[in-house]
Order: sequence, then structure tokens, then C-alpha cells
Amino acid sequence: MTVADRPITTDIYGEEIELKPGDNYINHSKGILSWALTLDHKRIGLMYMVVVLLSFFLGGVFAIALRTQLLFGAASNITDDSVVGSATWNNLYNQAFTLHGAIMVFMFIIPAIPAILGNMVLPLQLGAKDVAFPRLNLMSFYCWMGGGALLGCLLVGAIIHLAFGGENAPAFLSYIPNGLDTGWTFYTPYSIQANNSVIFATMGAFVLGFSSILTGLNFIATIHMLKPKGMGWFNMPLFLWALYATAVIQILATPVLAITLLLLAAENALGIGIFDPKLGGDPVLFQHFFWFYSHPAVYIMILPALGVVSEIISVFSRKHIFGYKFIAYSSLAIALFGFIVWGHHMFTSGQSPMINALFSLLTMSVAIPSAIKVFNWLATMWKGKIRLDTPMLYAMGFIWLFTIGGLTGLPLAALSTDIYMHDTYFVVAHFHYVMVGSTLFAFLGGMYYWFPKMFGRMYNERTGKIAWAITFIGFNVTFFIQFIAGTQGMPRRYATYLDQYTVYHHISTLGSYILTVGLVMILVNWIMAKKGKRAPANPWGGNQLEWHTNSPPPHENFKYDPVGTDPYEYRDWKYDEKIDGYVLDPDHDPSNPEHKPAH
Amino acid sequence: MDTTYLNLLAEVQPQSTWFPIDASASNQVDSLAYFILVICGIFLVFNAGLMVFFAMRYRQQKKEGVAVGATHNTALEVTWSVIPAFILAIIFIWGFRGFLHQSTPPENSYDIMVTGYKWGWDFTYPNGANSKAETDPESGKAMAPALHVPAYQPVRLTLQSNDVLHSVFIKQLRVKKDVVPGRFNQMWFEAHYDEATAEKTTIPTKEGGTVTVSRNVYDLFCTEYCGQNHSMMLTKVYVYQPEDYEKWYASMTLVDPTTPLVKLGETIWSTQCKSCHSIDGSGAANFPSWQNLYGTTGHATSAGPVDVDDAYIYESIRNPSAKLAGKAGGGTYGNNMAAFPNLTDREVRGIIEFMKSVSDKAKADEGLTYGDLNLDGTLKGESEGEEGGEAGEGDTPETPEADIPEADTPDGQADPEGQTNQAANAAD
Repeated sequence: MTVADRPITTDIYGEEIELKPGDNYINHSKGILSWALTLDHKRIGLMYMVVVLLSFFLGGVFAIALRTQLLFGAASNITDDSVVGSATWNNLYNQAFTLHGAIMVFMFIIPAIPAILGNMVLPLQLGAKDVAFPRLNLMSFYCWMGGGALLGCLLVGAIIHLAFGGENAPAFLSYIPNGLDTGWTFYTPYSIQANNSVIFATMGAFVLGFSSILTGLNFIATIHMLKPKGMGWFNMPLFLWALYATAVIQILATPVLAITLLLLAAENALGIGIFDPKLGGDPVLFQHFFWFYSHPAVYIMILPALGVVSEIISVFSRKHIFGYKFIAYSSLAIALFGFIVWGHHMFTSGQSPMINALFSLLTMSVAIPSAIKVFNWLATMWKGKIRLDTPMLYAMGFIWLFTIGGLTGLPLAALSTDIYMHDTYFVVAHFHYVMVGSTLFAFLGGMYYWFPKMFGRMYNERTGKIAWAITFIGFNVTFFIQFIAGTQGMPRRYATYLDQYTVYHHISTLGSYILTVGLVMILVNWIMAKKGKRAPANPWGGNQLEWHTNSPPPHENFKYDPVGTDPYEYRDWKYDEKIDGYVLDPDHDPSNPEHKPAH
Repeated sequence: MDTTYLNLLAEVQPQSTWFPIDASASNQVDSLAYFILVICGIFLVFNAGLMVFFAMRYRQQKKEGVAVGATHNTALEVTWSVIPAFILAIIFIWGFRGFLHQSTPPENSYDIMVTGYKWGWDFTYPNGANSKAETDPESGKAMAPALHVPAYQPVRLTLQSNDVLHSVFIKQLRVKKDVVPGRFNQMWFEAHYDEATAEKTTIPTKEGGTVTVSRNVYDLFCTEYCGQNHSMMLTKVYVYQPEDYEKWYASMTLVDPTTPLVKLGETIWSTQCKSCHSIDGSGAANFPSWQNLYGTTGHATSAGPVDVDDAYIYESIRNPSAKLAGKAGGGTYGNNMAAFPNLTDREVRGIIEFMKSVSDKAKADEGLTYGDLNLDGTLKGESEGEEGGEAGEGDTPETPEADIPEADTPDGQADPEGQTNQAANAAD
């Protein structure tokens, strides 16, 4: 019998322990209700994982649908009776990009790292039993489900309309929300002239927003109240700093979105005249309200990713993180600057040149803390002992994508060049590099990194590396070419395009298919890991507290109340070839009550 | 590989520069964009190069042991914060100066009014004429009215929208501005004339002959999402040499504002409506005929029976899908007609008078001119008409905006006083 087959694993000291039913959080209790009503942050994290990945799949289906349409969208394919360029074609495309955006932003990227990895890891990194308010945590999960269901109604409605719509549509159809075609940004006045689906969508996003607010509140309270003995603000893992900065944005900015969406719904249903120019309202006011949330939301998406990468780079370089305080403060700086740059979305809207100048200057300032992080990661790798496992490959892929995404923000922050590039594919490529490329790669890297801890099994390293290469190539093929299309003037949100842009669209679509293959491979690898090798307590040699417990952790997380030490000091963990993991000498474990001080 | 790709690639880069042809006399974009591109390239190669080099040079040999090195160095941190800040300051100032230039139209600018609507453009020139719908020179398909401008002359566009947000983007001129309902935005540019890429074409003159002009042809995109046909809201920008622009400008026929409405309506019918709507009852199986249509009561439509009156016809022209006309044998004719937002209200009035003239159920006044009617269709009293005439003799703007305020009013119930004044302005 091999080690993998025997129900035996090792604890943090490398001692064999026999696995018994009920000794970890996954098999701690049985039955649907034990999951649906769980207060365990780890189980809530897993439930988020299932539904958020499902949303990612749905959003991906729409992405592939619209990229496939764009294979055929050249103007020369349009004739009087062609499908290309017909009303149906355009409507399908407009609905596809709207739902792609809305699902990916509200249901995937925003919750991906905080709700899945944050829920899973934050209390563990604090050596705590759970978050500060476990019931609130469950409630935020159900807020997510409620908001998701409202957005799901739109999808179902669109399918019903597709099936029964047309010349002799039955009367009941008018009560069912049709697909949404306003774009995820809901710009007025188009969104107040559209059908009742806008109300469903805004209510969906409204409820999803509460999920985000409650999670943020919980994380802030947990980080303030539940730090263990020996852990101060400046020996917290950097992932916690990133989650803290994210949570600050979540609780300050998301209520503005809630207000905005309520006003939009009221405008739609009651015609209160705040955004509708016919009633004396101002459509650009909506853009200010919307981006006052949605620009900080970009940092809700990217900040946790920066935290994940800081962890991975240090652990896989086997070296203390370089410039801890600068990285921690730069997270806060990004969160702060993120609030005062929203106006750069309206450079062409006709707002005053002075406002434009201020927002341009403030936007530039975000580049500095971002650059600081990248330089600090490179300095951490310098003279390290770098192991190129899958999580590290994703972290390095992240640095590449984030560097491109960040640098291409410069011509969009500078005023004169933004006038040219605004609302072209250059912008599309830029925000996909930042939001999708960077956040997705950090999320995948984080999933691989904490996978052994979450499930107690190792994924297949070789498949992981191949899938990394495919996703990396697929992503860059899809989106790099869009920078070029954008500099050539290709406008965004176009269902059809001039023939001169055909090459760009074909290459981009090809890339999106490659990316899909890579993502499917990753999913298969994770599912196959069910039968993978049992993971040791600490496969990577990190000293953050989540590695100070078994894989997967027991229901109450730790055997002893852990004591915080420098999370980036790895020297006490010794490599054990037998288990391919790192073990701690019990005498060096300050958490162990029988601990004898060694130094 | 398919050779069409190679051909397309050749088309993509007609010049040696990265960006599309530069037709702007005051380009504020390219040089800064190249500068930023070079900076980006340097940083990307530096970062990625270091990363890959470190990953290879310092790759782990054994899993034991840890690497020891400095954990912080404040001098280094400050250095790599200050250097980017310095570069950012240069980029900001450069971009801001360019933007100030982009957003300050010179005083001698040539003014053109632009109206965006779902889904097309309307351009009104200083003499009050609009450029007419034409065909796309490349595909031969119908196209929204195009923008005609002189080269070597600053042109200021005043933008307004009839419905939702739009945005004017002319890539060769490096300009873009949103078209926002409820406010007037402005943009300006000055175009070069490029002999090498110009096309020669003949245009009809007012006198009935033709004249040859040469002009550069550029694309005008809508870049703010505006619904179903957003990606088809394209038209052309024609840049003429100044002397050729004079020829084109002279060819634009201004409708004589004293043309009787019935005559005006007949002209529009014969050019824009006749192919579908007959006036003798023929073709009624496919499209509604106008014979004896006006004045019908209880006319079946998709929204229930209506009376065919001025308000119904106005709505059917501005928003044809609102009440689809019913067929004699039941059912409707279907949603086949596009809206005509660029007909002026006077032209719509003309169509209505013309429809009256082909219907036994109504009597059109053949001598009627614009401004003679009250909203209920009765003739105005003498005094009101004179008042309008007096207003027209004063100093009035050269650009009548006859179709602007009313276009938002679905039933055409615009202020009668305003109509009178506008008619008088047009007569000026």
C-alpha cells in the first residue's frame, strides 16, 4: 500500500496521524443542512467557491459567444438579408457583452479572492477559530445567492424571450424580463428607456453589493479583534493587509453603488428626473455616481490579488519578503487613491478641463504604489532559492500581466492620448489585463497555493504547469492584439466592424479558444486531485499561521492557540523528503505548550 | 495562410507610423503616445527581463535551506518611487498641454451643428442646410448623412443628441467627444488635405449640372454604446481643399421656405416615401397606401384603433414601431419602416398636407405655408402672422435650428410661437 491510499497524513511536526471521520472541517458533520447552515468560515469559503466558479463559467460562455460572433462581424459580411448585422445579431451581441460584464464583475472578480480565498485563509492566518461574526458571514453568502438569483432571472427571461418571442408573442411575455442590453455600466439615459430588465439587474447588483459590504465589515472586525498573541500590525501576512485595504473600500464605496442603483431603479419606475435629461436630469451625473463606486471596485478586484502574489513570491523564493512596510502601506495608498480618480472615466464627456486635469494627475499617482509593489517582488526574488511550481508560475505570470496592464494605463491617464484611445479596444485590453489577467492569475495561483490546505490533497504538478502555459499564451494572444486594434481606432462594444479590423478580431478569438482549453484543464486537474497524493501540513515551507495546522484543518482550525511570529521567516521549517513537505521541530514551535525555547 | 490576411495587414498600415493616417493639422496625440510607448517598453523589458533572469539564475537546486538577504532598504525604495514620479509628472504635463489645445477652438472656427440619434448623424451647416443621406463610397450601401469640412480651417462641431448618449470619434483627426442629451458639447479640429489619398468625385450642382471635386475620406464612429445598431452608426468625413469645399457648399440646395407645404410634401414623398407608399391604392398588400388614408377614423393598429390625424402621422414618421398599421384583412404590416429623425418638422408638416391632398376624407389648403397653422389645424389670425414677420426682420442667428426642440416632443405639440419665429428666421 502506498502512502496515498492509506488514510494517513502528517502533522506539522512530520508525525504520522491516522485520519478519522470527523477530524477535519470537510467531514466534520454530514448532511445538506450541515453545509447550508454552517458557520464555519472554511465551509462558507468552499460554498462560495462552487457558486463563484459557476458564475465564472457562465460569464465565460458569454465571452466565447461574443468572441465567436466577432469572427463573422466584418462589414463585408453584411447584406440586406444576412444574419450578420441583423437586429437579432446585434441584440444578441449586446446582451452577451452586457451579461458577460455584469456576471464577471459582480459575481466573479469582486468575490473571487476575498470571498473564496479570504474566507478560507483569513482566520487561519490570524490563528483564529473563525471570523469575528460567523453568522454575518453566512448571511453575506446568502446575499450573494439572492443577488445571483435576480441576475439569473434575466438570463432565464432572455431564453424564454428567445424561445417564444417574435411576431405573435404571447401576452405573458411582457411580464418576463427580457435580456439586458445596457452594458454592465447601465449608462443613462439608455438604461432608463430600456425594459423592466434593468430593474432586475440593478436589484441583483444591489443585493450582491450587500454581500460585499458584509464580508468587508467582517474582515475588518476580525483583523482588529482576533490577532493572536505575538502578532502586531507589522508582522501580519501581507495578504491580510491587502484584504484589510480591500475591505475598507468595500464598506465605503459599495453603499454609493447601492444608492446609485436605487436611484436608477426609481428613475426607471417612477421617473423622478434625476438622470433623465427630458425631465431636467443629468445623464453624466449617473456616470459620476456609478464610477465613484466602480473605480474603487477595480481596486477591490486587484488589491487582494496583490496580497496573494506577495505571499507566493516570498514563500517560493524561500526568502523574506523585501520591503514589508512599503508593500503594506502601498496597499493602503492604492485604496485611498482609488477613491479620488473616478473622473478619468469621463474625460470625453464634456466635464470642465480643470476637473479633467485634476483627475489625470490623481490617476497618475496610483502608478507609484503599484510600481513599488512590483519592484519589491523583484527584489524578493533577487538571490532567492526560487522553486518554479505552479503557484509561482502564476505569480510570475501575474507580474507580467500586471506590468502590461499598469503601464498601458499611462496613455489613458494622460489627457491628450486618452481622448484618442477612450472607448476603443485599447481600453478593453487595458482593463482585461488588469482585472482579468492579473486578478484571474493571482486567483488561480492562490487556489493552487492553498489547494493542499483546503482539500488535503496535492494537484498534479505537471498538468498544472502545462495548463499554466496554455492559459498564459491564450490570455496574451486574446488581449495583446486588442491593444493594437485599439491604437488603430477600433471602437468597443461593436457587434460588427470595418473590414480593416478583421485580422485583429480573428487572432483575438483564436486566443480566447486557447484560454478556454487552459481553463478547462485547470478545472479537470482540480477535480482529479480528489485522488491525488495526500498533502502534508506544510508543502511549501511557509511560516504563515495557516501552515501551522493539518491539511485540511480541523473544524476548530488549531490544536493549540497559535502564537504569531514573523510570517516570512522560514528557517525553522526543515525539508522532509519522505513526505515532500516541511516540518517544524516541536521545540521551535512557540505555539506548543510543551515548547522549549531554542534560541 | 490565406492571402487575404496579408492584404488586410497591408491595408492596416498604409503609413510607416503606428497610428492611422494623421490628417490633423494640430495632432496632440502621436508624439506623446510614442513617448509613453517607449517608456512602457523599457519598463516592461526591464521588469520581465529581471524576473526571468532571477527565476533562471536563482532557481532552487535543493529544497532544503532558505535564502538570506536584505529585507528592506529605504534608500532603494525611495529611489524607485521618485523616478517613476518624475516620469509621470512629465507625462501629465505633456498630456494636459495637448488637451488644453484640443479643447480650445480658435475664434475663427467654422461652425457645424451635429445631431446624434439612434442610429445616425445629422449635420447642419452655417447656411442652414443639412447634408443629405448618401451611399457609402466603399460598400455602396445606404449611409447616414456625412460630415463635409474644408481643409486648413478650424472646424468647431457643436454636439447634441436627440435620444441617448453617443460619441463622435474621427480617428484620423485624433478627436473624440461624447454627445450628451440635455447639453451642448463642443469639439474642434483642423484637417490637412492629403493629395495622395484623395478621391475624385462629381457632385450635382444647384443649376442641374455637375462639378468635379477631390476630397479625403475618413471614418466617423459612434464610440459611446447606444443600443441595437451602435456598431452601424458610422458615417464618413469628407475633407475638401478650400476651393472644392466652396463648390460643394454652393451645391447644397436650401429649400425655399415659402414653398407651399403640399408642394414640399410631394417632393419628399417622391424622393423618400414613394418606393413603398403609393397614393393610388396600389401595393396595399405590402405597404399602406396613402390614398384616402388621412382622416380615417378607427384605423386598426398594433396598439388598437386610432384616428389618422396629424399626431398619428407625426408619430409614425418619428417612431414607426409605436403603432404598426393594420392590414385590411387583419394582422399588421410589420415593423419595416425606419424612423426619419432628420426630417425637419416643416417637412413632416408638408408630408401631412400632401397626405391630406390625396385623401377624400380631408381637404388640404394648397397655398398653405409653414407657420400659417395653429396646432389644431385651423388657420392663424392676421395679427399673429404679422408678429412673426416682424421678428424675422431683426437680427437673428444664421443657423435656424428648426428640427431641434421639437424632435423630442413625440406628438409635435411644440410651442406655436416658437414655430412662427423659426419660420421667420428661415425666411431671413
